[in-house]
Amino acid sequence: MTIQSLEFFAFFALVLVLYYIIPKKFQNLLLLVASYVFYISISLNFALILLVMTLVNFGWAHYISRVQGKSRRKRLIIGIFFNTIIWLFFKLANFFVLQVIALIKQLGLPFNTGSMKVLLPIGLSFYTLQAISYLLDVHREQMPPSQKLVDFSLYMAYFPKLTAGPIERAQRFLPQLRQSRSLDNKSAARSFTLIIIGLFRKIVVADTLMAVIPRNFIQEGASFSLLEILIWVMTGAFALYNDFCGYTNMVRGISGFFGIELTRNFAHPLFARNFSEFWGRWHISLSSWLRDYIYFPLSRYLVRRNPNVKNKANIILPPMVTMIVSALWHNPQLSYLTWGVFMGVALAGERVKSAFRPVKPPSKLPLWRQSIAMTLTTVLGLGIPILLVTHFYSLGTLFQHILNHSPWTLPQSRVFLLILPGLWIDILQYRSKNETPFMHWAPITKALLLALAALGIFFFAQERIAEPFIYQGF
Amino acid sequence: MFLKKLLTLPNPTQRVNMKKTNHNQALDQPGVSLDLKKPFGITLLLSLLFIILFMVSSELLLRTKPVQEILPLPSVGSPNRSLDIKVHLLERLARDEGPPNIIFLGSSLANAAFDPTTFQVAFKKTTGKEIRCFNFGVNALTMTAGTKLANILVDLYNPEMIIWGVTPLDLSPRNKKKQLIIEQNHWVRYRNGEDNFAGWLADVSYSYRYFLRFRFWMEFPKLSFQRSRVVSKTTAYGFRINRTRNIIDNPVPPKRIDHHRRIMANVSPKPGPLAQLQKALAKHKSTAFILLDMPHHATLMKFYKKGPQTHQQIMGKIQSTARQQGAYYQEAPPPQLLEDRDWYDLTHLNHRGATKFSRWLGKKIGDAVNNKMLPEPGNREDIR
Amino acid sequence: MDENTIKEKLKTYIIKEIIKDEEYPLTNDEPLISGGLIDSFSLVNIAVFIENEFKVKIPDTELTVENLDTLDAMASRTMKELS
Repeated sequence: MTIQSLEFFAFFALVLVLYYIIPKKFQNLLLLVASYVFYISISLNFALILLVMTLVNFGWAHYISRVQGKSRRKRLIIGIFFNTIIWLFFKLANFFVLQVIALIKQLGLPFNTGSMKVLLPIGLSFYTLQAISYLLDVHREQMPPSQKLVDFSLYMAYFPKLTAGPIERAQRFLPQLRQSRSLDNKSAARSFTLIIIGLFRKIVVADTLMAVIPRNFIQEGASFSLLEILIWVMTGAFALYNDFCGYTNMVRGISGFFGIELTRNFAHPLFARNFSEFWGRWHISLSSWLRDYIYFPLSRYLVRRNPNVKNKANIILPPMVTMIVSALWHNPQLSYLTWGVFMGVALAGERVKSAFRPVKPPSKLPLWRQSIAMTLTTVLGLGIPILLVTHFYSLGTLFQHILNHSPWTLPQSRVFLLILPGLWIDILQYRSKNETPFMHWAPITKALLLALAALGIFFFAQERIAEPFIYQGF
Repeated sequence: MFLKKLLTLPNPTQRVNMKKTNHNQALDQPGVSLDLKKPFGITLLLSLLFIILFMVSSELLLRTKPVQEILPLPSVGSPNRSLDIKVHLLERLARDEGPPNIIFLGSSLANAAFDPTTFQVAFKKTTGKEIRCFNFGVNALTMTAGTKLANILVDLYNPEMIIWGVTPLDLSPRNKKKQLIIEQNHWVRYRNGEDNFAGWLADVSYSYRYFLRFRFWMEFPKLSFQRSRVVSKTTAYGFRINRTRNIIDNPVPPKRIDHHRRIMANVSPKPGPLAQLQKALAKHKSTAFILLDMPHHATLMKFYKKGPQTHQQIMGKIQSTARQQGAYYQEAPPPQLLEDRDWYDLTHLNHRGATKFSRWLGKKIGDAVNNKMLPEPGNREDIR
Repeated sequence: MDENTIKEKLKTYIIKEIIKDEEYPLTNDEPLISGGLIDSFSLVNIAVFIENEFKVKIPDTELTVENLDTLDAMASRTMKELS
């Protein structure tokens, strides 16, 4: 079941009712059981892998904490290695399996290749990072290893965030499970609002925009003007943003009903004025993970070696390594690697500027310059990566079409009917510095907005029209 | 007790920074309690009222003639343009003038060939009876999909006659995906007894139908524009009036002829569609079904595997199915009725050809009515 | 060492090495990170400066807006580590 399906909401409602009926001391256990039921509904094998990783990391953290010095470090490295190897195996397995199948067929060997396939467990990339951050935090004595297997297992398997994050830190997540919390009117309203915003972004804005984008606008670039291609690329980027942000809003709202606050994952990345700011606003749980466990340690090491801010290695290496790791975490493919290098170069470029010239905060720039900066950052920070990742092998065709002067036409304006509502939500949130600004509005206005959102979600959630065939002549 | 021991490990000996929060400290009553106070849910209630208000008012408004005249035709969610157009034009006709006595059904061949107005005039001249007709020809309609539409038409409008233009190609669909487009439409499925939510919604809600139209425009703007152009050239009786081209002034390209040759050579009727036809004819006894052998351009006859013999064989099966179920079978018009100038291409008539054909058909059906071979339509009180 | 001394030393370092503008009127409560004056790399430079100058380490996971956005916050966090 997917997060936005009716089955999932029925499941959520059932768990929620049980959650508030049973004694408090069993609430975490209920959530854990529900999480595994959810995961098993996707795949029993995936659940088993998660269980093994949970038990190993739980025990290993204790194993790390029993010693000091070099042994402690050695155990940490083994722990990280274990998690990484599992993740790499599943990420790369299918690629290699396909090569093996091709080889078997080529050699005419008598093997049944029909069932040879390794599926990547959904959520593995996310909970692997969680496990690694947990081991690192324990190693650094920033937290003791968890004493409660139920709590730790819930940290790993918690169903709202299991499939696509946010990537939680144990330091933030686990204490919540041990605290006394309550679901009052305000928190219930906030959680509900987040769910509605999430559903609207995902179903009305993102899914529809994805359906509207022409399938082959890169491969058939000659039929589209440069401006149209740019609009479609940015539409795709906007759809991706609303899809992911919408998902995160939903799971945070759902989690809010259980009294558990999940990390905010997006903070209006479209209003970032430079790439550094962008990465502080986009997929925050991942970028902060990379910052805390790769960027900062590497930077500290380099700065200790040579504190000169203008040192080339200090400027280039940390952003480059971090963005390459980020790209490969998403997908170990050439297109993603190119994206990682591109972003690394962009971030390093910004560092060069501030290493040699007086810093001027973007907020102190004139509004028109900030607007240009926002537009450029969005196009280059979001549009180019989308292009690289989704159309890497068609880029040559695209450039050819551009150089051969594609016909100049104005882009279709219909996409703005969907972009504008999504953008409006972002603008409201940005200006009010509040994820749920609607909560402070008058009840009538809130109700009207909720009614419109609900109707929009309801209508757009119905099955899509199949693609028509072009009938010859008629 | 054992479980608790199993799940809790002993405290490790380690240096812990006492200033940091002890995550393992069991606080008083950890867990979440419900603390909802009245008033609760007022916004939800208000929004529900708004939703009801909006839905009721939009449903009422969107069913009025002035609003429907301004807006494009709504949609039942089918990517088949002509299905959407015909469903809604027929609805409007029934609303404005009353349900038709005779509905023409079939594929694009029927869409092109049946001119309701000319047929009505010829029929009246022969029988003296005033009737109302509608062309429900739908592009790419196969026999099976046709039976589904026939069920819907009888159910909704109870016509006295359905004249169904058929060809051997209707029994031998080539592209399964195309074939299923009509059959898999949620509204068609719903009206054929397959309950589904989207189908029910399309059936009862005009807001949803207009939303589907809006959505089609969003996703397929060029096709949406073409659809609007087709509607503007279609009469209230479902007949498209702008087909003036002919195969003398615009000869059929060789590639197209090859295409026909390939298709006709591979025509092989499947038993499934005939069985579906039988079922539909058996079900609807209150409506007189007339199965009509649609005219073909002479060139095409040669392309069948065994020439005209194949055509006769297959149409013979349709004829016997019709007779078994008490339906009427009408042979194709004589070849001399239609000349090259009457053909838009090798399969479809143009406007001139449609006029000639419809006039001939009106007289033929009129004669059959006069000779008591068909029940007399036009006795409904709602005919104006 | 008191908090004001820490603040002064930090201020001097930040104006000279990070902002690179000796005339800059940096106040104790000016938002440095959220205001865009300091990026994440500069934070590391500041953290290493604190390590070298005050002999305390602020963990990587604590180099955040919540802990170090202003001079006041930086000094307070450093004092916390010292004590």
